[in-house]
Amino acid sequence: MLSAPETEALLLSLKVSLWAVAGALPLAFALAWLLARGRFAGKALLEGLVTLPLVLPPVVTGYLLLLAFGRHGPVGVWLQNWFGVSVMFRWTGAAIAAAIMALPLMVGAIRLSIEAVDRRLEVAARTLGATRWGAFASVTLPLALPGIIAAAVLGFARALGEFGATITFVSNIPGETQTLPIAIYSVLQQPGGEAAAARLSVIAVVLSLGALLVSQWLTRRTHAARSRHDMQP
Amino acid sequence: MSFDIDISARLGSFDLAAIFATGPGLTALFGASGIGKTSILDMVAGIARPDRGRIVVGERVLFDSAAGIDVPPEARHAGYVFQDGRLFIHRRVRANLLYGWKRAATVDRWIGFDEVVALLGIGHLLDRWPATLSGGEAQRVAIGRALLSGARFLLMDEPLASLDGPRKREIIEVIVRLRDELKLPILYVSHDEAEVAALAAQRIDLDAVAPRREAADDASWVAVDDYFNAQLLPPDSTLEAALAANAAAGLPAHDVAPNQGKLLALLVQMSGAKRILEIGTLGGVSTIWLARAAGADGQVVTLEADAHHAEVARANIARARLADRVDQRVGPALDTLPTLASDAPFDLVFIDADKPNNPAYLRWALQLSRPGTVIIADNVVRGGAVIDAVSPDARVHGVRDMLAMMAAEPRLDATALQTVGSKGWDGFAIAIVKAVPSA
Repeated sequence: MLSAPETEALLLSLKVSLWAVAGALPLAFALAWLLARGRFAGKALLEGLVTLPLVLPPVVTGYLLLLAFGRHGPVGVWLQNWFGVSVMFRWTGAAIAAAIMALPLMVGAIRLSIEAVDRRLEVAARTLGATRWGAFASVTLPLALPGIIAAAVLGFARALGEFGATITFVSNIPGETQTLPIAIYSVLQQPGGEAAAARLSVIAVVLSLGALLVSQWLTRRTHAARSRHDMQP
Repeated sequence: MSFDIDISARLGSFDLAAIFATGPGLTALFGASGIGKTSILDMVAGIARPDRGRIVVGERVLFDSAAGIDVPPEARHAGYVFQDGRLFIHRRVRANLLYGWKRAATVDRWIGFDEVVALLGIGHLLDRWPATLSGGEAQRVAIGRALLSGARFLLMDEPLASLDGPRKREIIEVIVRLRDELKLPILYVSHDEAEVAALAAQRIDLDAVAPRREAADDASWVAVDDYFNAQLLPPDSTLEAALAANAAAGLPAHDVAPNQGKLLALLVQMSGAKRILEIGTLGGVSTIWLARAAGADGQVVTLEADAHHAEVARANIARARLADRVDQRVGPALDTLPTLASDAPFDLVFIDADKPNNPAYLRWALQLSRPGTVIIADNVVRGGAVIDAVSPDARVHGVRDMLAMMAAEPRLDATALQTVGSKGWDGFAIAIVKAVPSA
């Protein structure tokens, strides 16, 4: 059904998106926590910076990444000197671009779920013998978990669709940085590529829709379970 | 086991000050809403912090701002039953009950799961989710969760407030069993007279314990004190240094105010007292006033139970160059008083120590006196609490019993005065020893 290069693009997209979400999740949680619970100077600025990739032209984000991670960019030089690696024109660079683009959505979703946690329950946990960390692990985290998972799924869907920043930052290299959207763009550039583009687009739609349905189902399931009346054995 | 609380805190628009001590059993904190009853429970549980003061439950000091003690909430073993239940909505009833149990040390598990389930009659609820419970059921689960966490005392914040009549009676029965069968000390917040009458062995009226004076009054009392002090009392670097040293050493700010210290000095001079007994040195500020007034040929014997206080006072007295006329005795006054027979009789006795022992101190003052001896007892008003005959505060009873003794004792002629000023609303009693009337 799919040609070898098409399968390659699909698997690469899945790999890039999974790593993007895995890498962005801890950072997104930390930022969401700071924005939900923190009181500090410059909070509005941090909020703005986190949201920036959502409103900036993706090409600009890609260009900024290029400046930062490039051969002479500060992060690029640092990675080269300390680890001898470069993310330029590599799938890891594509994952970084996808992570940056998914971050605002993930932070937003996690922040909402943290803000929805009833802090009085954390206080109750403390009086019952839980340390600060124990209350976080046993009350805050489980209560926020559906939101965190939903954020991860949403971030995954966003990473799958990432195009502008990726192509600007790591270019279009089949098997390395040519993800699903970039592959669709490439086949459309060639004569007679419509059929391949259609096939790949259907896959993209199915993947994205699936991710959103999973996200919604997870959210609904948790709410339903806690208010079910028929749970007696 | 009981609660001994002396805390103050600034809470948004008003100042909370609560001083009370309870006996065992259930003590109701009674008062209008918005007076800070819940804040007191929060502070005992450790989830809110007083600005200063001391919280002792049984033998355990949970908070002491002077000593830098602030036990974290998870180590206080408080069984807090919140007004709104606060069950964990993501855990079933069984997991809610076991939440604190799993975190408690084996020695703290004084009650078993099955016992709690039977006591509260919640066996049929164990597999339910909190969202499906009625108000009464949720409240019983909340009580069970608190008991199983190894609670050594219970804090209950209007646990009946959200329940209807029959549910209310059901929970009252449960609370009575906690009180009588488990013998748990309970601090119980309520503004319902009937509820308090039904449950409480003691009732603490927060309006009386911490009178909410108009802030303007307080400020103008202090302003008038400042004016008098500026007019009549020259700056005194020795006393200022002593006050600063006491504050730095973490002593409670119970030092006499300057104009009150001056009154002590004037009374010493008016009565011509040379041999003076002070019960309760604290940081030695009043001692300095007394010793100065007694003159170079005077002698002040001053008693202090707390070695740390006595040490701070010793430095203050030395700095004031009064060490040669002050004789400090350290130890509980009831132990040191019997050793003073050879120093008697005293011309003036100043009683300013732990108030519950006031009657005993007055008896000793008489023992060590002569006709004409002046006896002064400080802090007899206690913000107005002195009129509360059924006060749970042992200090109030100490003052009341002493005043009764002063009235009944044929050798004493006494009066008492209220004072307001920089030390708030308080007062002192003063008496003179008469010749024993011939029978």
